Amino acid sequence: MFAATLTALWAHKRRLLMSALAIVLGVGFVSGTFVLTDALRSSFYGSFATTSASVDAVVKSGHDVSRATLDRLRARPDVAAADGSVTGVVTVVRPDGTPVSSGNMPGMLGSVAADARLRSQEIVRGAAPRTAGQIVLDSATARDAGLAVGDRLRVLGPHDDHGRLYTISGFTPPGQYSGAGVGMTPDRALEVLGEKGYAEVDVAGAGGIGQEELRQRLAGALGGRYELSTGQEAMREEADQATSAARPLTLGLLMFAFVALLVAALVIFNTFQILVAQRMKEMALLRCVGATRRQLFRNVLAESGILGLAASVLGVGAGVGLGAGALAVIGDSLGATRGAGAPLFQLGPSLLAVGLGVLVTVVSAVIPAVRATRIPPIAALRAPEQTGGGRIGWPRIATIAVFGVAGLALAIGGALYGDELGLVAVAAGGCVFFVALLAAGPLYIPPMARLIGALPARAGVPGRLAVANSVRNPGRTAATAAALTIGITLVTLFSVVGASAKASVDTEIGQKFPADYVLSSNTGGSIAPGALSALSDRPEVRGVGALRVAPGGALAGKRAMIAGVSGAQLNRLAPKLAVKGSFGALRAGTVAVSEEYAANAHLGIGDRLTVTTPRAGTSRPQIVALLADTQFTAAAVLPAETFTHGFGAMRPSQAVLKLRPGVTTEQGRRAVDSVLRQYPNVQAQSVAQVREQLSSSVDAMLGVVSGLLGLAIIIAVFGIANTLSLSVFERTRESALVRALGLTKRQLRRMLSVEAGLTAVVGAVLGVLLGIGFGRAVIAALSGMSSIEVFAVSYGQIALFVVIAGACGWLASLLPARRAARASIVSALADD
Amino acid sequence: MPAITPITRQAAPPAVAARGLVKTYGTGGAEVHALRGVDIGFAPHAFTAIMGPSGSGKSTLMHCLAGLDTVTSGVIHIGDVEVTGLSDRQLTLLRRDRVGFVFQAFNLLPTLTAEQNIRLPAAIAGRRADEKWFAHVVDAIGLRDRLGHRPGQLSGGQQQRVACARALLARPDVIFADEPTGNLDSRSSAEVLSFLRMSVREFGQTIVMVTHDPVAASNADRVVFLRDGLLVDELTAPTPQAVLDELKKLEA
Repeated sequence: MFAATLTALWAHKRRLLMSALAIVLGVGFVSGTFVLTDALRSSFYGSFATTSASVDAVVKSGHDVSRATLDRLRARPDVAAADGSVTGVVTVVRPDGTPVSSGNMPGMLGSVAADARLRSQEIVRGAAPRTAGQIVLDSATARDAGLAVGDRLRVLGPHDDHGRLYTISGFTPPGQYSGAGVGMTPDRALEVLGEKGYAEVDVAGAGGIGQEELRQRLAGALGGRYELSTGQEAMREEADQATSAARPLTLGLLMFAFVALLVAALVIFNTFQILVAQRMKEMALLRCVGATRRQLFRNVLAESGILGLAASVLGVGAGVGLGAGALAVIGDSLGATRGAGAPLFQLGPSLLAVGLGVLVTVVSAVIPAVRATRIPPIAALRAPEQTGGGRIGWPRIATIAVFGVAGLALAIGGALYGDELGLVAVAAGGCVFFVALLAAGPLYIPPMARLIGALPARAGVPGRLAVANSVRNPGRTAATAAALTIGITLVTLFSVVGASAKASVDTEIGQKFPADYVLSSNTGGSIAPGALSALSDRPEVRGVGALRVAPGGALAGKRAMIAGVSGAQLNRLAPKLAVKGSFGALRAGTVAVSEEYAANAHLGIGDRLTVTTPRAGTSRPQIVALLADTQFTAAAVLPAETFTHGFGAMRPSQAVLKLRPGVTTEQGRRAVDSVLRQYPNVQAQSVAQVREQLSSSVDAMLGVVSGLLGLAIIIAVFGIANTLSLSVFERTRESALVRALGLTKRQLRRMLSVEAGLTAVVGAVLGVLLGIGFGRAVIAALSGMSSIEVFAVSYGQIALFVVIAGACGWLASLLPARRAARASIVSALADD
Repeated sequence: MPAITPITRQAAPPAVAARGLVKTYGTGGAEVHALRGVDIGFAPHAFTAIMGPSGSGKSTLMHCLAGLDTVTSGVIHIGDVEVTGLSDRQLTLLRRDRVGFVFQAFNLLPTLTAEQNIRLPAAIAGRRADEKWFAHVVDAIGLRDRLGHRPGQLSGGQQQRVACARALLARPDVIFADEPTGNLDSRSSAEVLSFLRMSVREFGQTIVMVTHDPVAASNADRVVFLRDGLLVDELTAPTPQAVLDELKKLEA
């Protein structure tokens, strides 16, 4: 029986080629993701192991570790070297103030220990900073900005207005972070960041003392206020952190890989359904000569198993290539050092990927195998019947309907409920509904194909025949189209969410954007007061209103960010900032709260709120305005005097700027830029820039997602080519007949192209409809949790998806159609 | 043995004519000579049967005459068109305009109704069918009430009559019928054969039929016999018995 299985597989190798390719791609994606994950992990562990190998103990405390503690550690005889370590966000610019990385991304500052044994950074060129005036820079930024050792850069701390100049002494490897990465001596780093103490102190032991021994001794000496870990523990923790930072990426990749596998499963299911139908006579003959139902079942499963195994092994090979490619392209930006990684091929993940591939293939073949067992032996003696196939009975329709309605109800319920739970409900309900819809395909695919096919059918006989052919086997067409539907649904869903995000900026955020410009620090620190006064001195500017934001206060007993403003000024410059009430009314004894806070605390205008400040204690001001919650993070806003009284004098953290009437956007931009050139860490955003930023990040996201879903779509296109070539094989005689009756080769090819294109377009249209529907539900669920509140559809983009799908269908038909047109009429018409 | 008439002596030019027809399959040692030099003409408005033992080359002859298969050497004319030497596209157009087919396995498209099948060649050619003629043909096959049925809902005899109507609708120069009764019981065979004969008598159709059934062949005006790729004999106004005797002679 096994020999029969092998020969049957070999005999149908050409017919199985496409489905094998589908598995190869799906498994390749999965194993490529495994390869990438493994390589990243071992690269992180490897690089931390080499750079921090000599750190024997790490001292942390709940708060900062002071210099005094560092000095005490240094003084110990069992400590060979100790140094503080601190990291933070800074602004890195050229001496003239122009940004060093694109988009003026904030930079990351880390301390570089003087003693090489304690350094967590590797120096790839030049030397570590020896004096306070030297810095090291990551080599990716250096390469992009064209900087060399000896060049100078300016670094500004979170509360620096102008910063200081530093000379580059060396380069570190490219970092995981896309902004500039710089390193300074620990003392200077502390000063620039404005920190009171180090985040941790790294210690190297003296005289061959064991790590655990040292940890215990230091713990005893320092007391319970400090957390101590051995160098090994700290290293593992850091590597874990780096790995988990890359986890969303690998998880996302795996999700898309599973989508690809799912699509491959549909293609395989379809292939085996068709093969079983085509080999009905052969199977019946096996039954006639004594094969049991069980044997036939096992036979089909064994075929799928062997196919799955062979294709999955190839897939793992493809995956190693894919993973290596991905590592080469994005490894740098994830902080993986090349060469430090493990060998790309690893047995465990590869076996897992192969197992997954075989499992998916075999499971997909179960229903066809069951169908094979239902073939009666007498079928061997009957003429091959033209089965409609895929008709579904009432019990199945009822089951599908129950699941479909339940899924839909769950999704709609989730959308109405909103919140994270609602989003989960939308996803779960969506999946159930989707599966039910696919199972019901044979019911609505034929009318859909006839409807969409009305256009090509009108164009001539090839089109009409194609439409008739595409609906003759509803189950087959439905499964083929469904494979494409999955990918198109997801792409459409993302497109809808993206378009809605963009539209939300245009309406919601645009309406609520308080002023011509919102000023803030690009490191999240404070703004130089000099920048604000210089701006308000410009003739183009009508005024600048500052917001001072402080932590440490409380609203109704709970810690909250509280801001202070001049109410009258804000009312003049940014009246839109108050969505209800007015800032004009903000004086002593009153308060404004953010829209969100008011909603959560069920407060409105006229209500009183308990406000606690560190210096002035508790008061109960009355609410006079609700603050739009788009740009500012404060939960409550106090009048400037009350704020200063409660928190002390502070530098402004944000500001609104209004231009004089008659000043054009262009003039305004130039005026703002000319002032801010001297203040590199102050950024000014207009609504147009917010829109542009969001728009480009939405487009980037859509690009990445489409790329990742591209593989699933390619597999689905293989599925279309597969179904078509199997159908062409089945209909050799019909093709010959229509040729004999006067259809030209070109018309025959066109007939098959229309059939494939129609299947693709039906699948795509279904996907688009589903994607828009799911998108609507997702937006509804999201509207409570994010600023995406408007539902919008980019119809042009979606029409493009359908057109591309149709074109892919046409492409998929080229090979089978050529084969069909080449077949000799005489031999095809000859009786069996 | 009566003399063979290579080209018919009738005054009208033949509807289909072949001269020096040779068809060889394979090359080298594996060569099979299906036709070894056949000269033959088929009179217009006549019903001719081609007979011969298995492997005599009768199906190959028909496929070549109809332009479905290429010839190794020789010249074929359908009407005034030289079939040999036409491109695939020209052959396709020739089939649309001048040739009709009836096959042993009926070969109707399962997705189309009987009426759509009958109208298919006209539709492929982008022509409007002559509605009067269509009605006439449909009445002649006696399937007016079955036009909306698909092939799967028709009996073998009914399907073959639909196939005949399909061939007739375009009024081609010639209809080639390849074992049209091969898959039918005797009653259905008789119906189909009488319909074919009627279409020659009443519609003036030219029909060339390959068959191995002496009874079917006796419906023709003339029977030509092939053996080993050569034309060996012919009968005019045949009876089943005369055909049977001739076949026995050839197989001896």
